[in-house]
Amino acid sequence: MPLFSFDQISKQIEDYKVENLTFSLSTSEIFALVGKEGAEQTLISALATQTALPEYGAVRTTEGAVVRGCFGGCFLPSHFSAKQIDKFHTALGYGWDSALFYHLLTHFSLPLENFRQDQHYILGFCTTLSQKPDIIVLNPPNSLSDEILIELIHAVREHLTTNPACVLLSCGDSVVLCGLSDQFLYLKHGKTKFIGKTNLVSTQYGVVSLHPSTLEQVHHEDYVCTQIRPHCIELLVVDHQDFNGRYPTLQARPTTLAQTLWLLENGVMV
Amino acid sequence: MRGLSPYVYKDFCSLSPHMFRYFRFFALYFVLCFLGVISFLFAIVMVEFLVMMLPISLFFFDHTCGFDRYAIGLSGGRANFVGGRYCFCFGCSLFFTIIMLIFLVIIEKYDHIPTLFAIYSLGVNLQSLLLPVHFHLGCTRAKPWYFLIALCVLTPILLLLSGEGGNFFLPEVTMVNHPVLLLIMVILIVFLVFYCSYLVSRKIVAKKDFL
Repeated sequence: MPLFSFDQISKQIEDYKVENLTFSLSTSEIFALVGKEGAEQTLISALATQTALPEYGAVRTTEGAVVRGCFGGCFLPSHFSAKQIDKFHTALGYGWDSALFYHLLTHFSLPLENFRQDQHYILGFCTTLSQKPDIIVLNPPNSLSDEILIELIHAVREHLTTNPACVLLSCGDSVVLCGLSDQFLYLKHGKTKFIGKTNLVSTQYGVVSLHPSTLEQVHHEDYVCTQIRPHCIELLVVDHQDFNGRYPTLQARPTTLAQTLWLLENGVMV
Repeated sequence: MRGLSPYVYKDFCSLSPHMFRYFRFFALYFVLCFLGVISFLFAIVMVEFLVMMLPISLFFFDHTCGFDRYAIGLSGGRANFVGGRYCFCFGCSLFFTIIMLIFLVIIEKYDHIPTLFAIYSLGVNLQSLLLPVHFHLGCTRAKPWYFLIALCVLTPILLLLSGEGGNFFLPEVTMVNHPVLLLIMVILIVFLVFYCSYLVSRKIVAKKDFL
């Protein structure tokens, strides 16, 4: 039984929109949300932490499960000192463990005063882990370096070894971060395009169809040869009775996660 | 109440770098009072106006650093976030009123004390009105409402004060047969309105999306 699931969620806030989103997370799983800007990962994170409430559908958790998350950039005013931060979180009474926070700041040689976005996100991350939630939602800002993010994901993995939880991680379009997760959901404009396991790319995805309509705007042959072929180990023409009689239906088999994401991003893989 | 203390502490820390600026304003008003440029009651009204602005500034700071959605993700949740803000606002008004009260006692202007109390009550009621508006609209969209409400309430008072030459009507009002009863009634009404405002804000925040 999944620990956490999105059940046909739809929501619109101003221009931000997600439609009919369904996925589920199991214990000890890191589930990545992948997509370029406009994929609405922040809105999904907000829905997961219930800082935004769905219009349709429901966010389901097992009974008594606690969802905590940190997303966006800053959290506390930048003039807050380390002592004030400690005092604030200790007063909340959830067992704030500052050790990891100071360890990470020292590790990345970040100053303890005059916080910038990096320190703020690390702070949010550490407060989230300190609360020992069952579902951890992480939505780092785009400005955060991959180096820091990778370290944070390693910290999460370590956390998962002692705490039964699952993680919903927004990766932006980072292949590296996506690769560190167990499963990923590729999004475009708030809609699900693909769900797959990251460690089984070449074998489990199997052959994926290339939609002829996506090839309509470009010179077919050139496009296939120069753009698509380098991203697949196999490219088969499976149907010559095609779209408008011009474009054969193709099938591609991506070999790596990067190739898969490229095919998804370019609308070739559907 | 204990669950609110971290939020009150955070609000205090957020405002602390700006407190000195506000204290300079207060000092300026009281110097002008001593010089006879403005009346004491005018100074009291202006201080109350500034005190009202303090919590409103907090909404701006929270919005800038994204604390509102961070707070909701913390173990305290939405209710404590709202409760903390109300506690801080109330405490702030009370603190500055006590300072002004001490000041009035020191300079032996006892006849202004009922007026100070009335303006304080009015200030708290204004906050009762402004806080739900801010929770609902956010700091940017609520700003015009803030100035409109403050202007509508404070302008008549200031005009009245200037017309009365600094002698407000409240000392006479409190000369009724039961001034203590009147005092208790005012306190009860102020608290009731403030509590209702808190409940409304809680309801607003419970349904609000923080993106």
